Amino acid sequence: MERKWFIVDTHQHIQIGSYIYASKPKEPKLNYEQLVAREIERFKNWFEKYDVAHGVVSNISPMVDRVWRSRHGGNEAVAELIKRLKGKVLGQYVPNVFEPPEVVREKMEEAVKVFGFQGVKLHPWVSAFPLNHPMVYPVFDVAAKYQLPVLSHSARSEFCTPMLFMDIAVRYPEVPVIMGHMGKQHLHYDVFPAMRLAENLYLETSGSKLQILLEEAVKEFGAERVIFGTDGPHDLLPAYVVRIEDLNVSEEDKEWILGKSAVKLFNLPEP
Amino acid sequence: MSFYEEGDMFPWNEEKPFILDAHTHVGASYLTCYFTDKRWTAEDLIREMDRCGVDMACVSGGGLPHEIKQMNRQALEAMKRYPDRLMGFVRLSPKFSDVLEDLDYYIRDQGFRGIKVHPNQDGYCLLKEPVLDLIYERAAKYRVPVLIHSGTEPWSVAGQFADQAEAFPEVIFIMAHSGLRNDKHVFESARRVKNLILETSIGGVVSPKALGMDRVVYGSDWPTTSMRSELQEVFDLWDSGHLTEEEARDVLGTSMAKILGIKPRKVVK
Repeated sequence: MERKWFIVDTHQHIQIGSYIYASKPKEPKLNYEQLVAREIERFKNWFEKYDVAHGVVSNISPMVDRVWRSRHGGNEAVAELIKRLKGKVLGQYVPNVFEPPEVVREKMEEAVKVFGFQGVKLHPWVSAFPLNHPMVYPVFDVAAKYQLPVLSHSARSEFCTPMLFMDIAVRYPEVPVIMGHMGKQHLHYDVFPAMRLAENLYLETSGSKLQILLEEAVKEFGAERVIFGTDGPHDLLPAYVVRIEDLNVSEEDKEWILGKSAVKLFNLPEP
Repeated sequence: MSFYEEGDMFPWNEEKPFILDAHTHVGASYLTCYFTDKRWTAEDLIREMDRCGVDMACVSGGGLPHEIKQMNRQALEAMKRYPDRLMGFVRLSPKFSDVLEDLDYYIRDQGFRGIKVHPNQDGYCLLKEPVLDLIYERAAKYRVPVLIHSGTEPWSVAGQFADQAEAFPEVIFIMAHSGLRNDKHVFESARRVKNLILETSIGGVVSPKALGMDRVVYGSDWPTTSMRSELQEVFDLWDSGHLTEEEARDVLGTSMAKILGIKPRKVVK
């Protein structure tokens, strides 16, 4: 079936291990290998159903776990997914910023060179650290070295307001810093001053539904600085795409938001 | 079904559901008016409803907080212009001394179908504002629902909705935005009481399964959001089996029609 848009979903999660809001009271009945197989199947089916070109994926559990149970924690499941869905899925490594700086650097180097991760995901709210804290500098040092885009959750949590994105982006101008959710439903007024002060700051569309905010952002900063995401994969993809289709911006801008901006940012093959 | 093909966004095979948007605006909305001077007319709203297949809509005026009188006049004009499609909700603020007179005028004299209050924009807390009690007493008298912005602490969070729903069991409260995806106690609060309805705009569709019949209603908060995208979320949940056909049809319009005491009337094919 011919698709209308070239779509890259830059914000996806596998779900193996700890959950985001509360622990699951029951242990999963599946063992680790079975869980990985389940997630691989889920992703394969989803890509087949919705004909999305690429997904950029991280796992929730390394953000939630304060102490990892293995060397790379929940990232190891993403490494497996990258291997199994080669070319379709890009991995975002979630570092444990509470580890010593040299350990963080060493593990991120491994993540890139051994496992092929192509981006970084941070969740300051869930992990509990300010996005611009010096403990995060080692992460950005390695991101700068390998030109890895860093996607972080943003919201009204004091750990990840849009202005903290601006601060870290100004410190690391060579790192593309992606503001996941664009401040969500409350910090939308912070988005513009932050974007004005850091040219390497990008917006990711999931979690925000304000059409006028996105339209004004495209007008002021260009569609190249906006990338599409779902925080999925889930069955609301059509609604999320419709939201972009309905923006009062040019068709070319919509193409950039839905896929071309991500191609440029993540060095993906041209559609 | 594929959303990539033109005109193929609908999951139903035969009969199109009745669609009633429980939350729209003319003028502007709380979330557009600080970004743009643009204002949306009744014609813009009807055009959008036609495009999206929405038969009827509840409409209130929107804009800056000092513009309340103008907002209500705009909603009245819109309703008079399209009486078969639009039902007025009067925007009330306890900050205005003649708030109860406005309530009587628009509900009793002009036939508005509901009340809209916005604690976040008008600067008061749901459980601390005594004028609200007077508004709710009249809402009970006129048998109209009260649509309230939610998801912004400290003004209007889910627990406060349940507390006031308990205090006024004869009033139907509608939680606009179902907590804006920010409030994690929406479902638990809604489960505490029977007279609290969840409206889906921005916050998404809380599954009606555990709440019971007629507790979740579709709304878009247009022009804040894409009406078509908010509607598509319900279609997606229906299409993927997360909602049964009956649940989807209830959410899309049947439940809100019952709350308003109107007969569902399909206008758009």
